[in-house]
Formats: sequence, C-alpha cells, structure tokens
Amino acid sequence: MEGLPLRSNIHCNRRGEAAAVALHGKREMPMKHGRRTWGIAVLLILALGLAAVAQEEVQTESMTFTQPALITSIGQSAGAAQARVVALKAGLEATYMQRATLEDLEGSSTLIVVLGASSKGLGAAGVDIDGEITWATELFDKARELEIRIIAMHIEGGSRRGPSSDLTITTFAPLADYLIVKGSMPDTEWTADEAANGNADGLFTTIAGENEIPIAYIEATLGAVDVLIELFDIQPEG
Amino acid sequence: MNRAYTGLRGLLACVVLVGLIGVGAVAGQVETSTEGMVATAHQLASDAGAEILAAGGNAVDAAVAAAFAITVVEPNASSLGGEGFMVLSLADGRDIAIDYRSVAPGHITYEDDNDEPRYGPESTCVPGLVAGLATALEDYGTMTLAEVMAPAIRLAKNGFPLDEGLQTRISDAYEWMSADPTASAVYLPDGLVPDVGSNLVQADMAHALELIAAQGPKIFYRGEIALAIEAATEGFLGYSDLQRYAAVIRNPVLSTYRGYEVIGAPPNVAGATVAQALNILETFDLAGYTWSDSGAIHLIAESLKVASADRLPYVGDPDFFEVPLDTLLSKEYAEVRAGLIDPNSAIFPTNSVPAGDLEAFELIGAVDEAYSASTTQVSVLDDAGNAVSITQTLSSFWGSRVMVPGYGFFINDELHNFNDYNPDNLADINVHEPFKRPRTVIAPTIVRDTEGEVFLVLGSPGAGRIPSTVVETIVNVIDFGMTLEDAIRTPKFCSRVSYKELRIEGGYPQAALDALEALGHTLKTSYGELDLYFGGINAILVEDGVITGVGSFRRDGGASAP
Repeated sequence: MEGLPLRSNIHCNRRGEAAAVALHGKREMPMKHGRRTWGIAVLLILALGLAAVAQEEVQTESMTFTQPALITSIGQSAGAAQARVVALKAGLEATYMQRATLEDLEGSSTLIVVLGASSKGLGAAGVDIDGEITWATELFDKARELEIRIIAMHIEGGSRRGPSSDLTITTFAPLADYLIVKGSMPDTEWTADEAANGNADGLFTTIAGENEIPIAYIEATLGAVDVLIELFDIQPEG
Repeated sequence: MNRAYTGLRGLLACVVLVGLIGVGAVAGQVETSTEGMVATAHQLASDAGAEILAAGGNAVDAAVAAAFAITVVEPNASSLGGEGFMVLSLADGRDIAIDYRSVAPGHITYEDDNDEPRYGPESTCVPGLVAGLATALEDYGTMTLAEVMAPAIRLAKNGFPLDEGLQTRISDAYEWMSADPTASAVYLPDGLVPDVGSNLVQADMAHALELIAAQGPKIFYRGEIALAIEAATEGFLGYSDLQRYAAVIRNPVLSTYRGYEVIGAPPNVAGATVAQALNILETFDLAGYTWSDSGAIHLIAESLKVASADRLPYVGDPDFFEVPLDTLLSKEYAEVRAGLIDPNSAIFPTNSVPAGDLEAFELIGAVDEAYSASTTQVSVLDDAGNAVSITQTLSSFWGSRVMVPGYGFFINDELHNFNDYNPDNLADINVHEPFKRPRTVIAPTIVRDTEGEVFLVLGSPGAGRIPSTVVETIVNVIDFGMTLEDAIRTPKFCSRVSYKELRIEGGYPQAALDALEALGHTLKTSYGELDLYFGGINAILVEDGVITGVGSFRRDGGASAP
C-alpha cells in the first residue's frame, strides 16, 4: 500500500483483499468476489489465534490523504469535536467546523466527516435530520467538484447508532474514500462493552465491502490517532 | 439479620457479576420483595439504599444513602450542589415533607430578570441537598451520616462502570465540558467521551463526600466547601448565603382520589397541581376506558390543563406568600373547575383556561380537615412500613455547569426558574427575591390504599411533564388496574396551559390520535417510544404484601431489595 506505511500484521490485502491489524486499529480492505473464500479462510484462521502466520507486506493502490483537512459533523453529534481532539493528537493540520459551509471546503485537501445523529445537536443547529442530509449531500458534491478526498468516521460506538444515525451512515459512508469505525471487525471478539461497538451488526463492513472502500476498525476512539498518522503519513516531530 | 446479610452478599455478588459481563442496564429494573424496596434512576443507587436496609437501617437511612449515591452515579441530574423535596410517611403515623429547595442569594432583587445567563455562576441558587438529607437523617433516621454515605463514597472513590445514559449526557455536554479543565479532567479522559463500561472515578467528589460524612453539613455551609462554592461562583453565592441556609420541615399536601389517600410535596412545587388534577378527574367516570382510549386521554389531559392554570397565580414560596391550599384542594372547588371541561371538545387555545376565582369560591366551602392530616410515601419502603419519596435535581442536566474545583460536584442553575420582572404584572409571586425559593414542578408523591396502608410510592424527573407523568401513572394503576411495570411503561402525554399542544409520546394507536384531533386537540407527536422527555418514574407498589419496585424504563433505572 504505497504511501500507507503498514507496520502491522497483514492478514489480507486489497483487491485480494486485505485486513491489516494496525498498532491500535484494525484495517480492512474489501474483498472482491473471486477471492472472498480465501479471505474468509484467513479471517477464520485469525479467529483461531493464528494471526502471526499472516505477517507480510502487501502492495495496494495508493491510499494517502493530504493535509490540511476539514473536520465536520453529519448529524451534529459530539463525534466531530472528538475527531478534532484525535487529529490534534495525531499532529494533523485540520480545521474543525461543527457544521461546515461549502466555502469552508476551499483550501482543504481532505474532508473528514464524522457520522452520527444527535437530536440535541440537530436541535441546537436548528435543523432536522432531513435538512442535515440535504446539506451534507451538497457538501459531498462540492468536495467531489474540488477533488477533495473524503474520510468518513464513526467513533462514538453503538450508542451513536439508531434510525437517524444510521441514515447518515447509509447515505454517506458509501460515498467516502475511507472508513474509520469504532467497532468490531467481522469474526473477531469484541472485548469492550457491547454498547461501545458501532459495528456490532456489521453495517460498516457491509458498506465497505459492497463499495470497495478500505476500512479501519478501532477499539477505542484514541485508536483513530494512529490510523490518521498512517493515512496522512504524518512524521513524528523532531 | 442473617438473612439480611445473606441477601446483601447475594446482591453484591450479582453486582460484581453484572459489572463483569456488562449487562447491567436491564437487570433489576423490576424487582419484588417482602422485606423492603429501593427504586431510583440507577441500579447502583438502588443497591446503595438496599445495602443500608439490609444493614438494619430504616427507610430514611436507605433513602439518604440512595440520594447521596445517585449524585455519584448520575452526576448530571443531581448533586451536592443541587436541591430537592422529600416526603415521608412514617410507620408511627407521622407524615412529613422536607423542603430542601435551593434559595436565591441575598443580593438578588425583583429587578433581576431572566437576562441572567442560563448557565454559569450567575445562574445558581444556594444548594439545599446536603442540608435536606442531613436533616432527614438526624430527625427521622437511625444511622450516622458516615454509615449511610459509605456506599456513595465507595462509588465515587473506586468508580463504577459508565452506563449508556451517563455517556450520552457527557456526549451531549461535550462542547462546553471540553472547554472546562475541571470537568473534563473527570468526565473526558484524553479529551474524549469515555466508552460505556469504562470505570468512572470521581476522586474530588469522593473527597467532598468524605468531608461531609466526617464533619456533617457544617463543612458544606460553614466550612471549606462553602468557601469553595463562593470562589467557584465568583462570589455570586456568598459565604453568608450558604451560612444561613436551612432545610424546612413542612406539612405535605394531602388529598384523596377514588378512596385512596394522596400525599404530595407542598408549594412551591407541584404536589398541589397533582392533587388538583386528580380531584378534577375524580368527577369523571373512567370506568370502561383503557389507557389508549381517546376519551380517557382527553379527560385526563383537560384535568391537567385546568389544574395547571391555578399554579401560576396561586403557588409560590410559602415563606413569602400564603398559598390558598385549602381552597385549591377542596372537592367542591374541583367540581367547579371540572365544569370547564367538555367531554366532547378540547379547550383551545390551551392558555385560555382561566385561573379559579378563589375569593368567590371560598364562600362555597373549604377542604375537609380530615384530609389535611399527614401521610406520605417515597421511592424507598422498609419492612416496618416507613416510606420515603424524594425528588432532587440540578434543574438542567449538569446544572449551572459550574463544577467546584477540588470537590468535584456541579452547582444547580435554579435561578432561571424565577419569572421575569414584569411591571404590568406586579402580582407575580414568582419574581426574584432574596432567599426565596423559585417555583418548580417536582412532585414526589405517595398513595395510600383504602386501608391506610402505603400502596404506591412514585416521583419523576421531566420538568414540566412531571405532574402529567405522575397523574397518568396513578390513574393507570387505580383506574386501569395496570401492574406497576405496565403503568410506567405505557406511553405518556403531557398537558398544561403553557403548552400550545398536547404532547404525545410514541406508542399510541393512530385511531386514538385521530380521535383526539377530532376533539380539537393540537397534537405534537414527534417523540419516540419510552422517550426520556416524558420523565422517568421510579416507583414502588405494595399489593397483597408483595412489594414491587420498578426503575424507570426511560432512564435506565433500577430497583433493589435488601
């Protein structure tokens, strides 16, 4: 994976396809039909605790994102504000706008949208979920027009799932270039509280697979720090 | 005692097991016993109360233990910096209300209108919770503060698994909390909302609790905590304001409903409104109706609407005004007020309901003195028949958002509950005044059966929805014969003169909603099922010697028995 330094245990590769266990996150590339059986077999092996046999470097298409990034919320939950903290910890040059305007996209190279609806947040913004979807659609269209790549994050776990949140997920996650989800990777044990699992039903896995979008699974919100470091190829200071 | 300790061991084992496997949200929401019961908004607070009952404490001991514990496990909703109202029904026949509402600081004047910020130091009132709970324990309990506060201290010091409800409240507060280093150090480790199941330790709060347990309320009102509150509020709450605070023992509001005795909290909270609504509703026959019939919903909603019309002109701080309770609570007055209700048409607009003309009405008659005695009920019941009902609050979630550094608790934002000064309404009895209690709608309530035995203990959060939720739950049990679990779980609605529409929780049949609109109600139906907006009843029901406790389904409540 050029531009995406994978220092971790690789147990599947993209177009083959891949799932990479990063230092804190678990990254997975979607499988194409012809190699799905092989991929499932590897995942089963991993589930049996034999992940070490799969240590290998893989070659995938470039998945580098460039700075600066614009971080915003789709659904007006607190997730975007937390993504800002994650970005700061990662050393990412980013601007945080809880509800970005189309003009805010100017000058940004990457758009990071944090998915998840909060009725309280939507109320504070003076919009309902339908208005939010309309606004976010315009934001995505503008980003595409400006050739800005998009990372979609869901980092608030299972407690940020539900009809409105899922509407933001099913509408916009398929349109992203990369997914980061705090939740369980398929066929792996989720050791944290089930309410912290944003992918217990495999929704993100399904979306990633059907749309061939690379996905990183993290167990804690802080795990997104290392994912961002890798995606943006951020070098440690000093 | 052996059985009690065995029960406690079993209970603790269950708590540990539940914590280990992380499925505590449902377990214990409905509990039965013959030995006593505690029902609160959080299983761990109920467990704290049950622990005290098992150790030989009475209902007051257990209620105080649970009340302190709930400030730890639900710090967004109540706090050492908050306030409350307690109603007691003691086995020796005494009925008591303890008013530990917050009071305005001494520098406040009537001209201080609601331009003051909703949050921050200038939104606060002098907190009453510590004084109220200490007064209850000293006058009616059997144990020491140190004994009953031990569970709360343990929970604060050792931590507890963060539940989804509190995590949501932290997430909702993220914007302001992340900018507050004092609060974020506790609730936003690494600057992020902690995961459900993570251990939440509140060391500074534990320190404050330990100080109070060791030195009593004087450390809070005259000691180092008072000084810290003064500093945290930038002097808005002065040391002298805290020094003069005292909880007040009052007579509870007493009324009847279809032969049952109803014991509620007196002004300036909403016990009188609940009693008035039930008095009015009693003039109608609900037999043959079910909870989802539009006819029943209409009559209950209109009764609540008419009852609430008297609240603004007549219910104020009883230390400042003489509240005409005898008239407001009389059956004769209820008959007159019920005459405003048309079974075939809703009163619209809602605020067109006039307040009653009490001066004219007093010529008709006053309340039967037999009903003005004392009896009460609570969310704790012991095996001797003592019952305690507490509703305590910070006003808004997280109150003023002012956390006292070094002591780890939030201060209330009750000041906004006073009315704007209006030169065109000089008769307003809820304007700002020094040391006055702002009017609110909390309604801890107890119902005794026709034999005079404690039958139902209940109360709810939910701001303006509280009287509706309490009345509907009572009606569900008495008129519709529901179990307590069903009575609480059943969808709720809210009706009052200040709401332009009838607010309806999800779950009602569409046919009922259509029929209500045909009666002239304007409906607001944009709420989910079991929506937190409609409160969170935690209640106890006694029937045939079996005590059933139910923690709120709208708020991850829990019940626990010794």
